Amino acid sequence: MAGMMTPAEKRLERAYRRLGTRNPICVMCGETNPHVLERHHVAGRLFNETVIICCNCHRKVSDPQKDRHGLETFDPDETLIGHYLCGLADVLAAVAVTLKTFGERLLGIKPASSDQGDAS
Amino acid sequence: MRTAPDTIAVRAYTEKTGKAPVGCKKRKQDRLDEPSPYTLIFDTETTIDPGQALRVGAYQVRKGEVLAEEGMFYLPDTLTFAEIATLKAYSTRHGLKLRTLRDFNERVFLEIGYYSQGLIAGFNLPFDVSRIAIRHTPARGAMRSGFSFMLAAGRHHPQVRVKHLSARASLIDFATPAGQDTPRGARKRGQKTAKFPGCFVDLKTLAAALTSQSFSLESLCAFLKVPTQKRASDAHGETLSDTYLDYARADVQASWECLCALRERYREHGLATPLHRILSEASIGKAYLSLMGILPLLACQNVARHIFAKAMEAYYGGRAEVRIRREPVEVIYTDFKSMYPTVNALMGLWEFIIGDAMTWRDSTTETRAFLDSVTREDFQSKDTWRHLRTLVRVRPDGDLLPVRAQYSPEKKTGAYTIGFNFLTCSDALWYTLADVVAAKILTGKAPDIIEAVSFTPGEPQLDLKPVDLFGKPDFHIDPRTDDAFVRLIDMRDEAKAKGDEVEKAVKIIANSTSYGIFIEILRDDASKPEKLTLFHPEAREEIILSKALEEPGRYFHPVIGTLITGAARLMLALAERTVLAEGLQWAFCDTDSLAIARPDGMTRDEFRARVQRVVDWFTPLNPYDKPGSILQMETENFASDGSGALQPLYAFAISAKRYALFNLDPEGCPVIRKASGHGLGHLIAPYGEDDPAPGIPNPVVPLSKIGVSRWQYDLWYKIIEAGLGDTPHKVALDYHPALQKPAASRYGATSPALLKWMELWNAPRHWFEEVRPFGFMLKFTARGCNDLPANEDDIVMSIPKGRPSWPQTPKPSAPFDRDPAKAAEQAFDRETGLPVPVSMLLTYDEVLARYHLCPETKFENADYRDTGETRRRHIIAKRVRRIGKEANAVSDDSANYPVRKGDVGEFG
Repeated sequence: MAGMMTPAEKRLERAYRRLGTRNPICVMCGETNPHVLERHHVAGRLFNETVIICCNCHRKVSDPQKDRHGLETFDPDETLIGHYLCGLADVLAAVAVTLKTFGERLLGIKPASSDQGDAS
Repeated sequence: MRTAPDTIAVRAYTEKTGKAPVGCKKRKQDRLDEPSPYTLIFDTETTIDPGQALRVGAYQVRKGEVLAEEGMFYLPDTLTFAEIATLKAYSTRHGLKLRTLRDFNERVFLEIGYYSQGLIAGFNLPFDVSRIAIRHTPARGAMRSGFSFMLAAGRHHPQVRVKHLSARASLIDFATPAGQDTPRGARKRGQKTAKFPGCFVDLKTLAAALTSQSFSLESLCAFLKVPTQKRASDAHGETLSDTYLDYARADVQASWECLCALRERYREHGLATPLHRILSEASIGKAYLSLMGILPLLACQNVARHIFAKAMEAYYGGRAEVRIRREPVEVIYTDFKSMYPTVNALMGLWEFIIGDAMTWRDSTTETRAFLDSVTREDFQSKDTWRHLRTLVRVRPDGDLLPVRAQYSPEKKTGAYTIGFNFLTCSDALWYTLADVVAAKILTGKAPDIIEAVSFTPGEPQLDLKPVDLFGKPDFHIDPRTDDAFVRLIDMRDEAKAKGDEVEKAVKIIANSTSYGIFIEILRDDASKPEKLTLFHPEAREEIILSKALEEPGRYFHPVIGTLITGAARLMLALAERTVLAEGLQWAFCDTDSLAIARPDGMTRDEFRARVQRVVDWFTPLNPYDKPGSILQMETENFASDGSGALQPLYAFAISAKRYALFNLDPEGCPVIRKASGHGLGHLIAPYGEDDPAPGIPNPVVPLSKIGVSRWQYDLWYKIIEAGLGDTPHKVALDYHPALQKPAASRYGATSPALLKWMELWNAPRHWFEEVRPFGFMLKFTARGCNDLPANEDDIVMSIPKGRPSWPQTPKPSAPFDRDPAKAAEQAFDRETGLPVPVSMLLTYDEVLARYHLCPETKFENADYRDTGETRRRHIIAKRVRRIGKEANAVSDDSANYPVRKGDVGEFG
């Protein structure tokens, strides 16, 4: 007979609930451990659209957002779309670097040891 | 003669001011909607007094399929020391965990169901949740008119909320507890943990959604053929014994096996909707539309609401009428094959469902020309039906149209019902073009069209995907190229021909996707009036205050819903006209069925030949692969021995939806083939199948095929027997001694308003003796204080206006007892708390005395003692009211209880 839920399982459940899915994955680097995953506000904290991202990638992609903090236009829709597109571009830019690094490794363009540490 | 009503009503369209309907909103993706691998299945055994308090419960916790913990729990207040000792010894012997109720609630139920986000399952879960609750209060917010159950003391523990939707389904969720769910670090980063509503599966609900049938746990186990069948026990309420505890554990094991079997059935559908969100067949339908990538109309387009207002004004339900009343007449009983999918297919409405938008245009001139030129014969061509995607505004002037009115204003319920009458009204009203065509076909006169609006579907949505139902390539549907309605019926025909049981599941999908979800409106009753926006057909908006709140369902598309029912009424009108053109008559109709009657003087062979011509008339309209007419002769027309020979069938119809079909045996006695339980379902059976009425022959055809229970069959037998005899007005109701007992109806305390009935009874009692939510109660009917039966139409009509000279009639209720006659001895007035003597309670024979005389108030020559052909009334409407959907009726697990007065939201 299997036992009731262990403390580790309970912590995992709380993480799934925090993330809102049982299959979380970082949209930038593919990390799947729920304990290091968070939700990133793509268009900044004022707007509710979030994606799942690991802590490291979150820090990387949040930095450029600080330069756009408080920027707005007379049209709230334009403001939202603008912040969203910039935030999305930041994420995609980071994803593009990861994809390129992985592609280069597959093609043998760069040695495997250069993949250690920060890919950006 | 009854006075015709002078006020009619049309459906209005309202929205909560400032709030978009649910169909406009994208589904939230940030909330966990899948349970953890842990499942809790539990069941409770209770005392047998009216309080039905918990005595002992059994549970299993499963991790995946593996048993993680099995145990029992108990309430010390309801057990003796000896019983607790028995329980302890039993648990030790079987290696079970034994917990008190408090321990179970905190360390199992909430631990697994909330903190560990597991699945909670049971059979008739609302009842079991109310047994383990330590306190209950009326729920608020979205779950108002439901209950909130406290399982563990402390505001940091969530409460469980249950809202009864129907006899088969309830909404169950966890209320958000006090305290912070989002960790501090996450809060600092602007993140918020979404609320977790819980994952609850009521096996009764799930089984009904997947099979369209109602089950007890016993019948469900038998249906699913699970290894552990539910056992019977006559030890309820007796001293706890090992045998009884075995029974309790077996119930939980059986429930688990049923859950596994149902989960497997659901998995075969391949639907993305989580299992715990399946509440009805409509849930399955919506899940399939979603699987095909079909977005709701409101997600694609912000439709101008005056269009919805026009469509709702034109919306009427199916037609159900009696033409030959209370006279046995030979008939051939016909039925349209899959009426709603058929008219859907003929009008090409699938294009609207997959369309990315909908456009509309003024088509007044061409619609007038169409109406002027169209004939009955034109409707034998499928192309003609595509013209019916049109709504028209008319000013009725003695025209035959659907009418919604209070045909029986003397009845306390004040319900609006729909008739098909000659209507004169100074206001212009919106109708479907189909209804206006039907008027022309039946009477030769059509109303003048003031304005017409025709609808065109947009381009197919971009993300449509083909699906294989049940994962089988044979059941492939491509929404881009197939008309799904036609495809589903074709698949069903093929499966049925092969004897493949999957045809039942296909039928459910067809029924659930073809109509109801497009006209779904969820009615909620606020405690105080709230702001609503009332949309008028003339593109005007008005802010009103009302407690009757209406929320359109996700796939709400009133143009489709209204066009479907209009076309179905036209189909029935075509059948009626074709019948009359063949020199035949008709006895009754009901939405998609028509009983064609043999006129006096016509030979049987001639009658059958002409009916065949009527049937054949509809053959060109068949959109399906299986050849033949869409109008079919039902099995009741053929010998019950399966020989396939036509056998003379007779109808005895009393009022709308109240009829029976029968053959005559060589002695001239009725052999009932079909009967309706309309107007009887709210009553508890006075006697069982094992105690039938002496002197009434057993049914030849199984009762399940006839459609009624044994006592209802016996009643119909006596009604028909009287109808065939010399005294048709008099039905002897002394054929069973049980009919002398007080007539009782069973109600579940499914809402705070219903539970209030027992408030005075509960007041002096211990908490575990009180009747609690989802417990049962009995309702009786009292005689009026002048010794005349209460609620009788003609008695109420004859009461002079002004203050009544006798005291108010009591409203007797009693706590539930398996023997209603015993419960009647405890009957009390639920308003005053005073006892009501048994002698004041109406007996079954008194309640049923006028069943066979029930007037059909929508027609003339249809009063209590009238017989023969009814005549349509002419309604001259002086006022038009705008109303909403009728509230969910006071529920007693039957379909026929009248709506409470004031339960229809009136908006103007």
